[in-house]
Amino acid sequence: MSSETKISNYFSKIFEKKEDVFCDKNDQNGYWSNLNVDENKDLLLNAKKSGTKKAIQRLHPKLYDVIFSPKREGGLELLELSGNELCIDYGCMWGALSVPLAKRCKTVISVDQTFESLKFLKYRLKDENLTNVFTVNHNLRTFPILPKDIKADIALVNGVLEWVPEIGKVELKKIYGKKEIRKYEQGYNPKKIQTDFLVKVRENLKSNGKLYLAIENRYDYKMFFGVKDPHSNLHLTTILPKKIANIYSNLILGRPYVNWIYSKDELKKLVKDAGYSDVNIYIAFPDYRFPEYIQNYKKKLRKFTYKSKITDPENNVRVKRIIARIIETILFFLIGAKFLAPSFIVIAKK
Amino acid sequence: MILTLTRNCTHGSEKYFYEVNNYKFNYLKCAASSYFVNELINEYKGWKWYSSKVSMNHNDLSYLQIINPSYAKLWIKKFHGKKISIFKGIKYNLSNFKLICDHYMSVWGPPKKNIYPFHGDLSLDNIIFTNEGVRVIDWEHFKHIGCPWGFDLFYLLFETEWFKNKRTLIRKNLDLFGIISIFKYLINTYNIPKLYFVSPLKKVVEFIKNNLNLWGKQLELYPMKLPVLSFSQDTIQNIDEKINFSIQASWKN
Repeated sequence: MSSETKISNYFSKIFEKKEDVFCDKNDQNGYWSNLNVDENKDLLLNAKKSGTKKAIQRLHPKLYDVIFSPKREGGLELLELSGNELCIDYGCMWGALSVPLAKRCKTVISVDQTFESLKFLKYRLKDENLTNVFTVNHNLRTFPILPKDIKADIALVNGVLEWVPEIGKVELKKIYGKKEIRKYEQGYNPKKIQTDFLVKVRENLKSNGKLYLAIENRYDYKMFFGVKDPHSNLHLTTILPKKIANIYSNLILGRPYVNWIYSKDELKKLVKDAGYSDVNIYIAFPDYRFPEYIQNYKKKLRKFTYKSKITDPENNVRVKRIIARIIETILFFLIGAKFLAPSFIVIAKK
Repeated sequence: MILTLTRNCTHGSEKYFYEVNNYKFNYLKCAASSYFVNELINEYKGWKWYSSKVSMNHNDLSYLQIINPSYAKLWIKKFHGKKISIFKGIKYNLSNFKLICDHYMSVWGPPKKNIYPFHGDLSLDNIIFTNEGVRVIDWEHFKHIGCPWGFDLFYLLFETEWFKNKRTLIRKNLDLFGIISIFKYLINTYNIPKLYFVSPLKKVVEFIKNNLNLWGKQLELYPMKLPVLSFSQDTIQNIDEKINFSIQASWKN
């Protein structure tokens, strides 16, 4: 029996199929999207009619590169893919990496808590003529442990780990930088939730499976120069001690600071604590989403150039390019301060 | 093996370029769409053709892994050597340009037939001066049968002068001493007939404009890939007239 058939049989058994998407029978209320519920409905209608690219171009042109830019795939080669892999893309959203993975690997399981995003991905797969992707609508934290014969070779956690501790519906436009009171149980520990999630991800890997984890650096140099935290939209929350960041976030946003990101050493420890071995950290410039340059942290940083503007797209804050280049030259090429790199990509083995 | 991503889809291509450490090849180029997989296949063919011309084993120079029709990896060996600055111009690098001409003649040979294999991006950035001699890299636009004799070499000369004068914006008054010297060198050393040097810039630009498909999507998305195309008609005419005059005069002498 082929692995696709095994996956299909297993998913059919434990999930409910809704519009060609496998869904959690018990919980279909999850939502995390840059778009509001109504915007997503409109997008899906348009995508069905005129194709996904045209729909995004017409309705949300700013998201076009986020979803379709080939630059997003720049880090995938770090996985040294052979073409026969089974991959799980956790928090796949619109398939920015699921689609490139589907082109490179044998089978992809794309998991997301937002049904609408998976529907969009389904349309996109149709547009691209890709048939090797299973879409699963599920909370990432409760995604089941898969049976032995359908364990994955690759687990992708791309820009997701920091959002794992978030609870309830997230319509990003409504809560990003805005006051919305959210109650978390006492002693809520985002780090523990992130570690538990990574442990589960590990359990779904084959014995020689690999983790690809991409996340912002807590000490990204831009945070020291007035750029806001891309998750909370507050100044300095990533840098401040967590307790103070919590008080600050509670005061301004009415909810604790839960989107924890880490320094290089903290991240390495977190991944190791989740049971992974051979943890390799890479630094990505200008960020892990549209990387122009990625190198292993252990290597000496050498001079490189890239043409993209240094911006914080969510906040629309632009650190003027010339100033940013001067700062980068001093920090990275003269001092070699790799710990201030914007983002990290972790490649680790089970 | 440790990979460093150094170029991510530059110049309108959907290709990923990595430096490789701790492996027998030094560079890796990847593509994940059938169009750009075909470009990698072309590049591999280019390396194969070139390695036969420089008497090297092509398996030592490059290795192509086609994983599926829309995903391929091209592994490339590095030539250890030096590059010349693209902004210095020909005049101050005459001896190096003569070496390039010698290499061009040994690889492409003198004009005998109508069409020649085509590099398509012969720029100083793609030429390495090694201990074993000049080496040409980056064969991504290679076509086995493609262009008239001298196209790549002439393109290199005009592009070099374009870069040298780019900052001063006096392209109309280009100092053509370097180009003319190289043409004279080709005429005197290799007995190339003078008709090949009549209106050379116009010929280069016309060939590109008539064969844009040879550069494919990259040129559509990134027209500045071939800076020679940004010479104005006046400048082209002006440059060609000066070259024609100079070559004719030297011929008479």
